[in-house]
Amino acid sequence: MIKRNLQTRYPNWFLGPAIFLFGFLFVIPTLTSFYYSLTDWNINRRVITFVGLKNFKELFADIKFRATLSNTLIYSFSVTFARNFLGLLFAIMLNTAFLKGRNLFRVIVFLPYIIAPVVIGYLFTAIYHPVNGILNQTLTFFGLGFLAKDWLNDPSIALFSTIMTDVWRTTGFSMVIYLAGLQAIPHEYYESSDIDGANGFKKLIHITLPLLAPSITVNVVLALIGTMKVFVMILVLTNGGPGYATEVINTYIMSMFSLGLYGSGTAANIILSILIVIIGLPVLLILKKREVEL
Amino acid sequence: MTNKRTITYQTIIYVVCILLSVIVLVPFIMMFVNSFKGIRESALFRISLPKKPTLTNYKTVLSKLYFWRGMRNSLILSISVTLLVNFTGAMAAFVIQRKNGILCKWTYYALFAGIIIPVSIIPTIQLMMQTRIHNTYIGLILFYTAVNLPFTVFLLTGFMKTIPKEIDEAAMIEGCGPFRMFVQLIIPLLKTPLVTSTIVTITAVWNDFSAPFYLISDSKKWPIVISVYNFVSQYYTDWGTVFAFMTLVLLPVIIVYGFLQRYIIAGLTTGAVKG
Amino acid sequence: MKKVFAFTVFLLMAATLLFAGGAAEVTTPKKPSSLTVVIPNTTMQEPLERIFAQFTAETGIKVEIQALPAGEEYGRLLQTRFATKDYPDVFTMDPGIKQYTKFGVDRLHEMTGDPLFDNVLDASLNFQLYKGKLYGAPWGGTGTYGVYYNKDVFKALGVGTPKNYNDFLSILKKAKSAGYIPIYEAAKSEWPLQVFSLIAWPSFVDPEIGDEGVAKLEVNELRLNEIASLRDVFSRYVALRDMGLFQDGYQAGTYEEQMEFLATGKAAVAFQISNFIPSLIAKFGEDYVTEKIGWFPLPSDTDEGIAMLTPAHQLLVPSGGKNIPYAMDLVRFMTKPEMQQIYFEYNTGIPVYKGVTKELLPYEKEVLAFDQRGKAKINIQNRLSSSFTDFPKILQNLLITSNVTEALNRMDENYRKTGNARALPGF
Repeated sequence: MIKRNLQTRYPNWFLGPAIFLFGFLFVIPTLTSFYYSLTDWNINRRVITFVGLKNFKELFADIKFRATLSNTLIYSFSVTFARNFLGLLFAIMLNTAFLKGRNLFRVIVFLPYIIAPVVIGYLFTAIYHPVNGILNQTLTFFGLGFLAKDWLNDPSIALFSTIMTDVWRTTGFSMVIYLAGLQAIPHEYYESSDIDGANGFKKLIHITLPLLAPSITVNVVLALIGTMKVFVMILVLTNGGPGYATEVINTYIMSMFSLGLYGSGTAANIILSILIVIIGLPVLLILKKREVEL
Repeated sequence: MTNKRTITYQTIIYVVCILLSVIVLVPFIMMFVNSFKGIRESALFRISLPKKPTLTNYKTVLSKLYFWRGMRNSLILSISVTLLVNFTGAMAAFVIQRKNGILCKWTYYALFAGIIIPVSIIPTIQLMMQTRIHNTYIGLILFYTAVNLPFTVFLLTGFMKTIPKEIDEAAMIEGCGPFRMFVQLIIPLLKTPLVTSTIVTITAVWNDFSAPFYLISDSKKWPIVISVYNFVSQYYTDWGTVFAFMTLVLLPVIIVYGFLQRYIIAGLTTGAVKG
Repeated sequence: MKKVFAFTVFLLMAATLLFAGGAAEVTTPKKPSSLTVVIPNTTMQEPLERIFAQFTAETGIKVEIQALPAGEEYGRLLQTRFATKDYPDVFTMDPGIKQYTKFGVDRLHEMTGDPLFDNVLDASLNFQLYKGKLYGAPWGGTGTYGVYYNKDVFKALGVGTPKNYNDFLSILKKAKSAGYIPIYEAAKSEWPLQVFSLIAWPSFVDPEIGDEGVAKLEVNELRLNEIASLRDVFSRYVALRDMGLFQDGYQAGTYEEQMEFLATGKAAVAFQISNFIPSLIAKFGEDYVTEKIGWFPLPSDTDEGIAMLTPAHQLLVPSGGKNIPYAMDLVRFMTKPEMQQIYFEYNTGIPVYKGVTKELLPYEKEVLAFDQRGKAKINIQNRLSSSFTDFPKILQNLLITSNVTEALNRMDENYRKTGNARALPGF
């Protein structure tokens, strides 16, 4: 009797719309992508033939794609590190001091996160302009003219410049998460360590960081996943150039798509998925574990 | 002595905060002041008041049909996606959390994977062409719903745990059907996470570039973000007009953010922590 | 559980029926209230607006211009629109019959025998022929790529146009020591980088491989990385950079600055396409430009070189369009001499329709003179069905690595890959 009631109270068809929508435009394309990546599918082929791992072999033989892979990883790791390091630093500073305009500051640094990356990309092409850009102007103004660079067109620093743009965009977001985490730490922990005579640095290492661990893992892994998928920021800032200096996987997929090479493009997409899963799987496990605690 | 140290420490922090705020705001200020300058002056990107302030740039932008179209399309898209995501997501989350069937479990796992795995864009385009929804609003709305659903379900499932099952039982004794119970009882209780999900979804859809870039080839259906892209590639020599366009695009976003900053920041960050 | 599956299947089926139903309608051409014309967003729109206004006044049919991002993106967007049967009524496209194979001839409206072609000059007409049939109407004028130079600078240096490649180099070096930028390269804008190699093709590569060589390339019997003269062209390009003949910070060079520097005499020469002349005129006025800017082909080792011609663009009509008769009316209207006249008020080029009176610019007369002496060749890109895909990026990278072999191999690989993707015979 109770079992029957349970059935009617929570009918399976409630899942229907979600399964349909998600299954239709996410699961089906994801599954078929494995098949397509093994074919010579392209814009002019009306008949698709199976070619095995040819696309993958060609990708790894392509110097452009190899540059793409390393650029994506460098971009992802650097942005993740910088925005978390800075975000945590600012959050700790903000948390320890009694500050009047704290909320205003929070609102300001969070602002870039809600702005479309396309717009941010264009604003920074102006900022990085080698002659008139504010960055070089400011450096010259402070007598640091030797640091002025052609930020987006010098192949040795173009990737760095795109990384800094994303750090500028997302540090506020990481900071706010850390700030929330810090404020959740009960004061008693610090009070008891005050009695023990611990200094600020010791408190940071022994109390703050361990208690902040959940925020850190989530923040880091989300940043990694997000940055691996970077696309429009690069497209707008450098279009992958100069040469292949800032080409990332998603811009590579776009160029494959523009050329109508769908099979190769899909294969590149699969490589991206594999990379992200390798890095994203740990989070999944961590989150699962935390869920039990809830 | 300690007091003195605290004061210097506070001063340092104030200085750092002000410096950071300046770094964050400078690009926006540059955009704003230069949007009132002529073609030659604006190309210098100076943060200075315009010598001869002009509204021509704004007139040019506002006279473009695609500016208004872009804004309208973005509104239509983000609102309909949000409604669809919230409603279907809540339905799924409700059953997934309350029940322990195999189907629920696997749906949940599949959705979870959807948070991490990137979209396979080319097969998606192919599928949409085959089903004739490529290059349509419907197609884009369904696509966004599929992509944003996992997060919402995840968020709502977590929250459902805090709603006691006794509520459902009480309703059932009164002879309430499952759908009515869901709409009248459960949805009001899910208000908090639904606000979060709404903020996350609207931001994601409004700012997204790649989906319409790949899925919409008719310029009349482009959301504002793509209009910005197309506009800049056309007018990139005339920075004053470009800045005016971007100012107009950002203005509503910044105004909404100004009023709702508390909810938006909380929504996006709790969203991130949970997701 | 079963219920859910049944439900999903039902929804899927319903959706399929719904979408399939929309396609079955039969098209009966009745007078449309408006026609859409797709153009790249780099096209000058005023002449089109004027022409379309007259068309509307005459027929009552409005014409809507849709400007899409230019470059490879443009072709891609149009191809997806074709794939989704979202056809524009008329669209403009780069010259060459390869555009037909790109979209597939069965998906383009055949224009063979249309009276509008009676008015097209013979050379241009032949260029449009694909297996004896016509699918595109020429639009605009014949242009040229080449070395554009500032006459004042050359006068100040006391030099004329170069007699051969060595002469060209010595002029550039002279310009450098006199404090001018010898060559302005717009590396940031990417596409202008191709111009050097493309104008070098008629002067250096064509003499080696001849028309037979090009015919072999067309069917993939000759590899690009086996052409010695092409390797030589790339080496010469890198050498120009290594001799310090590009401006400082050329990686940041933009097309706009290139125009500005050439016109104001800061730079001596620029490798450019003739389309940049109307932009220059818009900025500096026609008199200024005709007075200051000259043109010459890239000289070969022995003589002044071969001029390179680019055919006119073309108007295409998708065969799946709903308003084909009216779209063709529009095409005929646009290509009438009076309308061409309007076009040439804003654009340069040598007219391809008879009856269009246009005072040629000095450089156009020179190009024409080269052509009449048999010293002109059509852009190699327009003679081949496959494409030099990603070419600007390859050259950008060549300038970074100076690795000629790598650049050639990539060019060859992309050429064959594209041919294969287009299912061209031989690939």
